[in-house]
Amino acid sequence: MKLRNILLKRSLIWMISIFAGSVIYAMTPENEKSANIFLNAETSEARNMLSGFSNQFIEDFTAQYKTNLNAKESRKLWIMEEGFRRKSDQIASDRLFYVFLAVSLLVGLIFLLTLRIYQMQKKIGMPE
Amino acid sequence: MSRVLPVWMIITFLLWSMTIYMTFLWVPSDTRQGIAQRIFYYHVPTAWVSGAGFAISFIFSIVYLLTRNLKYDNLAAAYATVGWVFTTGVLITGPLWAKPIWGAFWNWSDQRLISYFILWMAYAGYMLLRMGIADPQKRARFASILGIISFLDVPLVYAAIRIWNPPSHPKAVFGGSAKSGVFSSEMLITFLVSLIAFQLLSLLLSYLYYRFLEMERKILENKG
Repeated sequence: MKLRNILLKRSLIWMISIFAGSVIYAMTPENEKSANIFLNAETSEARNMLSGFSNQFIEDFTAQYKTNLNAKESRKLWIMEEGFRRKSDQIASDRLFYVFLAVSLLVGLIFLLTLRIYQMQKKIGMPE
Repeated sequence: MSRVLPVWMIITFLLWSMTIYMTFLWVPSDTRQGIAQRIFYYHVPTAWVSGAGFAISFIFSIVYLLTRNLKYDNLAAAYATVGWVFTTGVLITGPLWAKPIWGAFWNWSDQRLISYFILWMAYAGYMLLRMGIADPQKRARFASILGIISFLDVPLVYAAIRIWNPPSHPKAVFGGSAKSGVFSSEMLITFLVSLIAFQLLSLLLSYLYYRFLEMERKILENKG
């Protein structure tokens, strides 16, 4: 599973670099500059840059990239996109589970403390 | 105080409602950690509030040792107890945040985690000590000393990520670096609202617990 994802990511990067020349001319100057830096950066540096890209940039870049693909290449990309979509859905649902658990347990803990204080006050007949 | 209390409760409830709304529906997701980063808005304020509780407890422990007035011991006990419960909350939310991001619930080589766990154990000891001694003055004296010693770990927890700089743990929220966890104004606003909500709740619970301890002391004094 991990190997497949690595291969998919590597192929996407490789494909992006192949088509980079035809992608860049259609982008805004700002995006073109960012894209150029990204495409020419070292692998680790390029990976670090990924999280810094805005949603709009990624959308524009992908849209431009797709316009330059033939039918076969497009479908290869669909498979990759489908793989990423499924993987990201899985990760998001896993993460949501942990968020739900953390917040529920914390609220439960505070509720128990409140209940305990209330019970103790009631036991000695304190005004509420 | 009886007039202030309902207002305090309502404000706390409203801020908590706001916190839940903002953390789940308003604040943008972190680009690296996705939805898991939202635990930050509960984990970090809980940690801050527990630290504040221990600091107040530390001050009242000193005041008790200087005055020998049991009222201050009760104040120290109330803030330490609520602080300890919030510390437990930190130790619950932290590993649940770490698991989807680090792939593990705990990292024994992270100095921040170790020092925080020691803090939790120190205050657990403080509460066990209080439960184990019946004589109020003797209990107050020993508990105050232990409370002061236990508090020494709080600055260590605070400084842990600055001194040892554990690579896995996020940096400090303020005075940290770009890896601090707050990347936009929405994130900062959500964090501050959550922090105020947690602080008000912590102070409210501490006050209610202190009120109980004082009443109990007065009843026992009248009986004696």
